[in-house]
Amino acid sequence: MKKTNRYLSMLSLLLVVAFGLMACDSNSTAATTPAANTAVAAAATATSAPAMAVATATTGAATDAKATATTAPVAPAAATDVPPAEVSDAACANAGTVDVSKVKKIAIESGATLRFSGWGNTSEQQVTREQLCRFKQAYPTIKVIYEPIPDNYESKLKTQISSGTEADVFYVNPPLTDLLVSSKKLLKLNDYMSEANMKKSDFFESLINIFSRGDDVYGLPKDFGSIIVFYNQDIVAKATGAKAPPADGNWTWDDYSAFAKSLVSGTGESKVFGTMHQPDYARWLPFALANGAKVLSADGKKSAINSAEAKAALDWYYGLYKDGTAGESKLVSAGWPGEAFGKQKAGFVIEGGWMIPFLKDSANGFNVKWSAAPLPKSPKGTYGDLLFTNAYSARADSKFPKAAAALVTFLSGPVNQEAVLITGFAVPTLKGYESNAYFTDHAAEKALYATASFGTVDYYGPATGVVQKTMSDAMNALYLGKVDTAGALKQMEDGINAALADI
Amino acid sequence: MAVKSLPPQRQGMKRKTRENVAGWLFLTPYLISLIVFTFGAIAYAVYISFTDLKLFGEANYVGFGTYGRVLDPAAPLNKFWKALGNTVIFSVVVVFFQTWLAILFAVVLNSKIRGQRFFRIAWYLPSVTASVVISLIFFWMYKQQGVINYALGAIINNTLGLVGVHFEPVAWLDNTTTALPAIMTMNIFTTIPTFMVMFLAGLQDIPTDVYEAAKIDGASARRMFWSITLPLLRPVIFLVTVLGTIGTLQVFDQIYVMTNEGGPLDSTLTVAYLIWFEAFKRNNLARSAAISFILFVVIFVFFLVQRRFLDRNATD
Amino acid sequence: MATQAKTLTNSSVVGEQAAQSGPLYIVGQVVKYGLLILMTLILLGPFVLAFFGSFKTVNEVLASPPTLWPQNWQPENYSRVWNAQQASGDDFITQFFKAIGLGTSLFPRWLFNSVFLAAIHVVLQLFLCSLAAYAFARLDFKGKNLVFTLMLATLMIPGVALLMPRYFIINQINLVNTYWAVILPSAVGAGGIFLLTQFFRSIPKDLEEAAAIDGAGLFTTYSRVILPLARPALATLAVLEFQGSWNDFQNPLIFLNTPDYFPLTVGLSALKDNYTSQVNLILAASMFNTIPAILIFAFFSRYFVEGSTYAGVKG
Repeated sequence: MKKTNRYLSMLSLLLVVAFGLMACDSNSTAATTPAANTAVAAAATATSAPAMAVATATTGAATDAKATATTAPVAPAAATDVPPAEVSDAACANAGTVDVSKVKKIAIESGATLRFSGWGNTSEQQVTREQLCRFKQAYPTIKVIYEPIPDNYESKLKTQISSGTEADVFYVNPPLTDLLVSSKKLLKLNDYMSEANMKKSDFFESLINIFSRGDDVYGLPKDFGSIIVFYNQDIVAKATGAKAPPADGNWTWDDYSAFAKSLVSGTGESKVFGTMHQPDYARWLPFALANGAKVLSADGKKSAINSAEAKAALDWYYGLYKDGTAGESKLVSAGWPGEAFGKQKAGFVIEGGWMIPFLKDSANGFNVKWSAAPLPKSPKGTYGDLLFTNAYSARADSKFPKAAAALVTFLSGPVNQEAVLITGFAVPTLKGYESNAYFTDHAAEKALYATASFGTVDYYGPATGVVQKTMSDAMNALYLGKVDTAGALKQMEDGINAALADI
Repeated sequence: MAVKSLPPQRQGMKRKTRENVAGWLFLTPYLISLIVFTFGAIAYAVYISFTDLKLFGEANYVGFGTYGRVLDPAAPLNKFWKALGNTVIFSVVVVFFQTWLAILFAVVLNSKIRGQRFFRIAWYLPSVTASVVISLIFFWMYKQQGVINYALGAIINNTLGLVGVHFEPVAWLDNTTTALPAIMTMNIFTTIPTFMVMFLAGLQDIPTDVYEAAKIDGASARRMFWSITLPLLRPVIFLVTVLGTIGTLQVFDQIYVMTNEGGPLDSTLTVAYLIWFEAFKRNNLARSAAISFILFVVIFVFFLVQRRFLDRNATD
Repeated sequence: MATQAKTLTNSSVVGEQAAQSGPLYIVGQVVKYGLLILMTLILLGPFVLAFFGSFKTVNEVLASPPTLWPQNWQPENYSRVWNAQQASGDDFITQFFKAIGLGTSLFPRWLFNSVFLAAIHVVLQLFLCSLAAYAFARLDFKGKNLVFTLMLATLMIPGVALLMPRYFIINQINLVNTYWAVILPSAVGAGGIFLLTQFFRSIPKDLEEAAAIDGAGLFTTYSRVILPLARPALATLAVLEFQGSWNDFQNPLIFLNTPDYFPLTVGLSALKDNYTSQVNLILAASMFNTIPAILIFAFFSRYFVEGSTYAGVKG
């Protein structure tokens, strides 16, 4: 009957159309940019940050696990509406012009085409495109195809690598670096670096060492995040006896406690806490590290967390929670401390650079007058912090290794990093920017930048995820009253040792 | 046609051969797709489950070593049994409710009601949304001061509250006891409409004269439901139960989106999530493959049991 | 083919008494419609909330106690989602969209990709699965039960385990980053075959026997007798497979590299990075994803509302 013929003709029509479309394969031109206005309160310091407590507190606001799952930087869509752009190099106008003479170029292959992959939401992707535009100014003959991976970055990258189809240059985080260096998938960058007049020591040690093996460099740090204090200026002003923390970070744990106590107000449903002390390892560990604690032994084979220094930090951290000075986000019906801060239920919070766009974007509807300051020094007088960082790496078997290295060195080089700094998107991983004009009016970024010199990267070998979860689980048990601080530390120690044994 | 001109016996045999050939011919597109895209992948996965392959590493044959490690409850940090327990509970409860509620909804929506079409479309909405999207919406609703607590509080405090019962907001996804039931409820919610649609189609195929005859014989509505509708729906019930079981035993999306690596203290960890986790976070492909095949065996066993009781077409 | 046909319209009579009047009946009706409305509220509730939430600011979406009506309407959430990403390639689809005035936002392109992939998927499924289902339901051939069980067994392998091996195969045949990579592996599937087989089994055999007596070959019987009768089943499969393809996320994510090729689910996931901090945008994106699907379902639902008509042999 007619029906079969109808099905058949429909099918053939669709198949013809399908063939037609597929025949005209994409000839993606070089990364072009939308005319994005990223200068406005741009996106966050983009790193695999233990961002918001995506799912809940019991496992310790373990932001991290989710964050490392996608290793996605936490950058909400900053910019204002993006007007449609021409798909052309003219759109790169927003990227600013690069003083090409300042870029020490390296020798590259002719006719090179590179594929470049990274994670990132839409605003980070815009920022990346602008960086690629700048790259094109410095190396006009290299064609770059940008293939953002919006989600499940690790799954996709690992799948691609196992078939040899990964991009030439891509983002890596410390666990990925471990895996890829040991399976020899990454390009060694030392020679290219010297050609580009870059030295390993140009970068902060803790950041670049994570991506190096000895002196061999396999990844150049892209940006980093850490934990600092964000405080609500209105609440501080209204509170009696509250003094804003010093911009140079010269305050102690006792000052911190006093500051937090002075900001507490109200009771019950309308209580405003001094701060939020989540049962999340990433919020407590900075203090422990500042006090000299270590998570792993020097050889990385055993747990070292169950120490007097760590206990002192945990006692103090938990103590503020127990006496009601510090709360946790779920007590004020927030998903994470940043949300609590936005809703003005906490005088200050200890968070990272992702707070900046979160608070600044007026479309989010938070109207908080805030500023930032570094974490206090420990009773020993030393500073410490937790760093979250990622790098650019090139694949070892790229068809255009020199061009790939050129891309990596340019993106992490001084010219590009300074340009990125000025957009407010991230702070540099290179030393020497302490007195940059940008930091004069940007307390948060300044405080963040300073942490690179004394921070420790949040990485513990192949079992990192499990180690992190173990610490947060133990803190949860502590907060639920199942163990005391000594018991919690013992639980961490046992769990970490088990994790390390399971590799 | 040629068939008719042959003697009856030869007709039968020729038809049989024709049927044989035709049967396989009709299956050809599926078989091609199966061989190209599935068998190779499955064969490879089976192979690596007998090795100790890690990502980008070398595969060394270890016999059942990997399986042993996975099944060993004493092995450090081995979450397999917890995951399996969660998964089985999830599946049994969800399949039961989603099947029966789907039948109920389909029967209701198939009867004469005003606005039937509107209701059918509206009730289908949960299924037509991506599971990731539903997970996000529910995640937002399950927050401690989210909508669900708000609604429950409003209802309970205003009714039972009169006798002194007070409802405290529950952190649904944070408690080890409520996290998995919360996700199960969400799953039931989203899959009922899909299966309802299947039952609706199944109900269409039941001719009215059967019911008319029964009514003449004096059967009540309830009797007709149990003695006519349900038996005639049996193939669809089998379909729904099998698909539901297969689906729930492989639940992954919701866990990935709504929980943090298997929820508060592994209470929402499922086997499918563990498979992904072992492969992509622990980089242990061999273990991931081994767990996959253990799960496959579990699913297959469930299927055989269901087929025994529900599929009247089973001949072996 | 034309046997005597008696067209019957179906409607289930379950739950329907012979019309009674009187107070009991009215109470019954009230209860019935009351329950219907309650269920509708429960099933639709999340979407209504999501819909209103998509117009709010982040602060308001996360407010406790939650609000229904937005205090400050923010339709710009939708324009933000629309403009989330710009085209990177320059193939003729992009140029087409530019030419008709939609600019270079990738959003309409993503929508087009979703529709395109889903449509092809549905057509292929309807055709190829019904072939196999007919074989299983009606034909008798050696090894039938074995193949059927094997086929079902393939459904039982967790998909997530086959991700890497499948990618490897697709890469071997050079189809990565093409539409084919998403279409071909799922063109015919065990789930669809299983569904149709069960439905085909419940179609009375008399018509086919009549057709066979009239001298129809197997393919003719399949196409001219079974297919028309199986309209509800086919419509069910069409709807379910459309839904499956429309909401497919993992496969296009892994197999496609260029953002221009992403379907809506993958494209919009780029907003999802901080989904706890930009819930409003995510909800807006979800609306974009859900509403076309519900419209398509509404369109096809008439196949469920009308009774199926089938030609019965008048004895």
